[in-house]
Amino acid sequence: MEFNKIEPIYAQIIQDIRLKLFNGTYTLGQEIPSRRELAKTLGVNPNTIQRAYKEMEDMNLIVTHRGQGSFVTSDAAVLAAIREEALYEAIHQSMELLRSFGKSDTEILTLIQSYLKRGASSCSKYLTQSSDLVTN
Amino acid sequence: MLQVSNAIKRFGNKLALNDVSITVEEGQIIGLLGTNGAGKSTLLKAMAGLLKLDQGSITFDGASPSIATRASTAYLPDMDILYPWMTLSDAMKYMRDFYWDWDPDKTHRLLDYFELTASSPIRQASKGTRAKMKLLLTLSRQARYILMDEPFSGIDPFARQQIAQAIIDDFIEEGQTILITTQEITETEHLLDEILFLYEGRLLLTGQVENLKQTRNQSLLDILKEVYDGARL
Repeated sequence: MEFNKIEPIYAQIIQDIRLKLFNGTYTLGQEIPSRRELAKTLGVNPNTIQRAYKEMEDMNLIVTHRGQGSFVTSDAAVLAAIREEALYEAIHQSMELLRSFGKSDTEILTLIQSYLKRGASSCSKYLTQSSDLVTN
Repeated sequence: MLQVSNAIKRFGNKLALNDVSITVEEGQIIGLLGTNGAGKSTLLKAMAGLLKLDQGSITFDGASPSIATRASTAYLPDMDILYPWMTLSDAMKYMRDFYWDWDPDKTHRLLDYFELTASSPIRQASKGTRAKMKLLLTLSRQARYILMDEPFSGIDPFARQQIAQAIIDDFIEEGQTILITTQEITETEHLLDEILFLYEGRLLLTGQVENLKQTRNQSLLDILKEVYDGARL
């Protein structure tokens, strides 16, 4: 896992685990590496890992059972809430970008609708090229 | 708990430590950062009991430095402590005879981990290999406080990665208090709980690395650059 230098590492670890739960890499109730294991694997200060785990426990994202290890939540409602939050965050970031181009919210909504109508096949040459890069 | 109170140290006309006070919580890895000549090495040596302060005090759990506190402190110096005529196993025997808390099992694990040959002459070792040897000799003692002066200085990124991992692995097992002076801020910040930033013998900034990033939303290097620029004005 690559860390950026700007955000606190513990926050990046939480993001990573959230994402893994969100995209199905971790299933509900699945065991995750222990604090020690993760610190060793990532080569990161174990106190930082401890902070990440504590916060995730407070969020009910993970559960730690003494002597058994740490597990992702088995509560589907928690997963649904995280997923929704992640979607809203993605939408928010896209909206901020589009607004910075000088478009109003109503204009943006119209643009999105026309984009969806057009479909992927008739995307511009530029978009096709970049999607080639992604698949390769 | 390690406490430095109003430390002052002069070398001739130069004020190497100018009223430095810090409290070091146990079980943390602390980075002592700053420019060359900022006072990092001086502070570390004073903690190791290798120099006497002109004013101020250093206490370990409330006690002044003594044979007992020295025994619980392991110091890894910037300079070569190793005699070039020795082989690594000679140096290990020397340390083992000198210190009662020498851990032979740990020594063997570290030998394997670093892929060092005990019979190799120190004189022939590269900088990276010597750095690993020094670390092996320091970590093979069971010290509560480990003071490392520039353990990463001038070594290649691959050796540096191995050394950093060895420090982390040992810290996970032992939970000691480790103070490291380093110039390699970007390459080592992920190891550090707390940083102490020195400039011309004064402490400009202390703080938990993660908290500093959280509040300022910048890399550690950028945070320190700002503080440094502010001090120079």
